[in-house]
Amino acid sequence: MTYNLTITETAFRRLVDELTANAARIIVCPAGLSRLPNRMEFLVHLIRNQPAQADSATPLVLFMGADNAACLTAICQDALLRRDDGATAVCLAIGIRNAAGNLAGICHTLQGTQPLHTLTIVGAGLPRMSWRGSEVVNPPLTTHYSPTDLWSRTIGALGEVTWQQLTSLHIGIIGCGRTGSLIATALTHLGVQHLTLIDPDTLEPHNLGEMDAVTDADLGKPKVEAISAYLHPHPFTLSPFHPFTTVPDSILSLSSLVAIKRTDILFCCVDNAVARLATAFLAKLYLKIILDIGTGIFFNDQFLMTNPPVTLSPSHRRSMGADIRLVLPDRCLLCFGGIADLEQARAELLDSHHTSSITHPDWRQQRAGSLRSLNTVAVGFALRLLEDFIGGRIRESVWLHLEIDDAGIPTLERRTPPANPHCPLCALTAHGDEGIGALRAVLG
Amino acid sequence: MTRAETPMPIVERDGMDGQELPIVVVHDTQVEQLMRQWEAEREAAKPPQPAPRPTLRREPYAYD
Repeated sequence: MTYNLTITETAFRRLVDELTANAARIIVCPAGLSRLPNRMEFLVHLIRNQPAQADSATPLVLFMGADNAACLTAICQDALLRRDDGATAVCLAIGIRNAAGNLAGICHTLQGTQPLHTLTIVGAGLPRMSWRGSEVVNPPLTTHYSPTDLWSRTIGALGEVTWQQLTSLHIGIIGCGRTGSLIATALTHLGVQHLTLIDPDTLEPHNLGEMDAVTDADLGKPKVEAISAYLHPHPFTLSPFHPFTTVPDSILSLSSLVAIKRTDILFCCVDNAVARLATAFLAKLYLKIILDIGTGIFFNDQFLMTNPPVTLSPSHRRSMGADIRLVLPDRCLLCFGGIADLEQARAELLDSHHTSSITHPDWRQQRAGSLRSLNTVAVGFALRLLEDFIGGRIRESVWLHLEIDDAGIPTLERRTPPANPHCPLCALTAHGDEGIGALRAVLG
Repeated sequence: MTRAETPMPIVERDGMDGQELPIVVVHDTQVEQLMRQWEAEREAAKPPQPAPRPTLRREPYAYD
């Protein structure tokens, strides 16, 4: 069993500010829990100014500060000994001023006192530190060839530290169709070793034209299995530690929930509002960063979408573009651009008959078609956002809107919708397992 | 990112039955850089110190 602490950058910064102002304080915060058979993760988003009036069932995280690294162990121990209510608690002592960068932590549970294993700060660069000495959280990249030879140009562009961090991420891809398969291929080429692929669909002939990493021999197989089999024994990578994880099931399934809890970042490449809303919901509960990608091609005349002529002339009015959103824990897909067809998703999720499956209307009723060229552009922008987020250049949520006009000229716009302090989904940030039952309340 | 693990001596305390708490201090350069950056931003956000008041003294003394 490992014990981990995950905290948003906003919360960690506020902690540092408050402990710098008054190092004698002990700041007590309630935490959400993400439980797995071999892992317990404490999730912290809000910093309380006063000790929480919590019962013993509420997990707590106690934060202390000291400007001398040699004192961190002692204040961590002192804080632990002061607890007499039996609550599950993590104590984290943070070095401040001259001791910046030093941390000591411990976890107390019903099973006794355990070492804290990792601290993850959910923000630019996604810093993660381990208390297990030289044992890194993710094993280093292993290849048949020298990584610095294979990825010398990428390392030159991003820096080796950023590239190493990118390749050690555990990335989940929700929706493995046209866009999701392109993402899986691109991440593999980047050197990312640990992917989790989630999609309930099987491969059909109409997928072969535009999807990546599948062949006609895969027809009838789950898409996730086909992509995994194609990419994992990739000639570039030899990854004995982390085979891809495949979940040929709905995002609403228990197996998907377990898989998502293990990831660091989620790519949302789905084509329906239910799956997008569910992904946004789980990302909020478990402090996951989302990269959401949506593309679309429409004709102003509905008749053209359902009965396209053999030749489409430039006079046919067309709407074509993509939205790419990097969403950090301070925002969510609902309040950062919204979710198309949300009412339909709300109705389907509240209908108990739809709890385990997602309906797919005929694609012609949704859109005119799909272009691999457009999806590739959107995937490229999403990867650029990821690279610069891990490199520390991007420090906030970013929404890129691509519009291609009737004359075929693309325009890229950055959109910054105002924050919504009353966003019902954001109210569930870092609630962890206890928040799972709240989806209906959010929708209602 | 984690540079090194520095085991710290564990002090036995009353009530712990001699149990050694598995607390260690680690140092992380990425976290340190982040904290240094925040410190610089805090300093930059502070209002400027008021300029020292000019002395009223003039020579020769001219007040009672």
